[in-house]
Amino acid sequence: MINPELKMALLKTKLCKHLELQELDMLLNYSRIIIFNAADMLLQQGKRSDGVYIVMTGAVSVLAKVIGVGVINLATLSDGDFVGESGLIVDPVSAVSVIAKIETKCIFIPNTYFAMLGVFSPETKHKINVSLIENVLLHLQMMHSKITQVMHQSKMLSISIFDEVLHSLTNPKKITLESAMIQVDQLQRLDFFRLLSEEDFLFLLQYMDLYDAPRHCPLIKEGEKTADFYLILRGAVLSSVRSGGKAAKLSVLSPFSVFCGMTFHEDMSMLIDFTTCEHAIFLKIPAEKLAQLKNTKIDIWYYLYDAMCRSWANLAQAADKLDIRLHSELYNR
Amino acid sequence: MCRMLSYLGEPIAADELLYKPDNSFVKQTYHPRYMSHLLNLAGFGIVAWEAASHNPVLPHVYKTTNLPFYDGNLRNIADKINPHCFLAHIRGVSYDPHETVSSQNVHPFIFPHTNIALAHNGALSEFEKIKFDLLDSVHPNFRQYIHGTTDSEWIYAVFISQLLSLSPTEPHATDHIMQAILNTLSIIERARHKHAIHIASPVNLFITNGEFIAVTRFVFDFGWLPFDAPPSTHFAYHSLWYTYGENYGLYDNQYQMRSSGKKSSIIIASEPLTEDATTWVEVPEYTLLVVRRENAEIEIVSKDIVL
Repeated sequence: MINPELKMALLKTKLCKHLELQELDMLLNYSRIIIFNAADMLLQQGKRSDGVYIVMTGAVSVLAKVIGVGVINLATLSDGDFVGESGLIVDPVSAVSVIAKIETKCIFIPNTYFAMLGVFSPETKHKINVSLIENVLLHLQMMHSKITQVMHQSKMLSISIFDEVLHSLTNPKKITLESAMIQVDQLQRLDFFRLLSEEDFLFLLQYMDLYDAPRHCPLIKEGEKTADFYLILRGAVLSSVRSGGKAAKLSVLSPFSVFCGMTFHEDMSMLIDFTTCEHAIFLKIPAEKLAQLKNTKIDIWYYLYDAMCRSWANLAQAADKLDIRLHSELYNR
Repeated sequence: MCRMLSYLGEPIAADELLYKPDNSFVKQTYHPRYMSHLLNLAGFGIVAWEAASHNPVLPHVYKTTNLPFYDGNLRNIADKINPHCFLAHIRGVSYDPHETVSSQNVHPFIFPHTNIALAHNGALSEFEKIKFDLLDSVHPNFRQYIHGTTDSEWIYAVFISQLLSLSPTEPHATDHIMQAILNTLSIIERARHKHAIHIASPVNLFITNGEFIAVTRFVFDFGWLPFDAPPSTHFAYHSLWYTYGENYGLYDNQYQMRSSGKKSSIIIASEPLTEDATTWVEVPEYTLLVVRRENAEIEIVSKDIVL
């Protein structure tokens, strides 16, 4: 018998706030309550995280051993907060340690539950993804502001105006699969499409346009409001943070990676620039077609949203790494 | 894919890095995780600079095609030497009878009359087509020293031909090293362009003379490979990591850099030496890094590679 008070408390947590009561029942069936004493460890840095802990009562410290700095206290989390989510979307190895400050009651949801949701209840998974991405984007915003501040004060070289102008003149060109010598069945075998039925794959393909872009071609610019969705097929795309005419490399996206404008999630301006760093071929779903897709085939939209969650989580993780590098290295001086 | 390990900092017994950590350099040669496509058993080499040794600007050099985990000589040397800088390399080759496994192909390469060594993790696609175009960029004095069949030795020959001076006692400014590396990559790119080679080719270089370590994480034409190509590490970005601190050892029951606020030692390696990689920084793609030790402090200078 599920305790109704627990359900109501769970509804107020950041991870479960979008769920319906019957969805909470299912979640609680797969979860367990764990009570940690003060100084007990929920997660250990460098060890696998097997699930998400929602703090119901009490408080936990989030600590990280940072290269060149030592152990730092990143945050204190309390009622309604959650930890361990990075194991769900990007890396099963925890980048932080989480220790109970006082006696703390948590609900532990194993990763297997979330994996199962993708198959049996994509809608519930989507609602949880929305909560996760809110957290990820908040973190990314915070890191972006920290990074741009460091860049502003650093002696990094500015991008030359000549390069800026030259690159702004390049544009991706729409091409056909034939001209790119790509077969439809080759596309279908890609990991990105593998979980879609043939019918859904062909349906989605109608919404995608194929483009060829030269090296250093801007695809999404910082400050832009866009929800365009990209899947790289060949070549590579660089994500970077810009500040005061300077650019810092965030990550390099390889073939079969996806990225997307931030209005995919909510009405946010782009914090990050995406530019090709090699001659590239990619599939693109323009924002308006994506909106149509959401109305016509919601399951495919959930599928794309799930891919985006992982993409943004990877970018947030890359922002953490860039922050460390900017403090460790004399970068692009 | 090869494995590389370099160190600069407080003198350290080489076995602390080669053998002891849970993902030590030698353990990586038989760890199943790294064995999906090839074995890394085509030769082991190390160059190590030790201040107390005779003629300390020149390194100890040990190269062998023996398997490192059965090599008693390596074990003995690793227990004994206490270098402030070293570069070790394990050569990985495909299961292919055309591969040449010989001592001439074991990295790091170091030509006579210089103390600059280079090791390479990667492979230039269709190298045979561009090899003799590179000859124009190799100083005539060095052509005679190319004895092996690897693309790596040619890259080394091109690189040292770009340096202003090769005297072991002459210092090398960070800017000059960076420029020589960028020139080398540009020369290779031009040769590839001439022969219309557009297949991804990783070039992670490790270069050192005992005073600096320069590394690259780079791939020519990244992301361009045959669409249905079988999984292969040969086209991908090879990993590159570093960690730094006061010194490396067993602290709090695990091998790690001691974090005391001092930055006197650095390890740069193709893979972290411990399963827990959370105190290692992964060097991003298209990056050139030069580290040196000034007043007992490690300085890390990095630059995006844009050819």
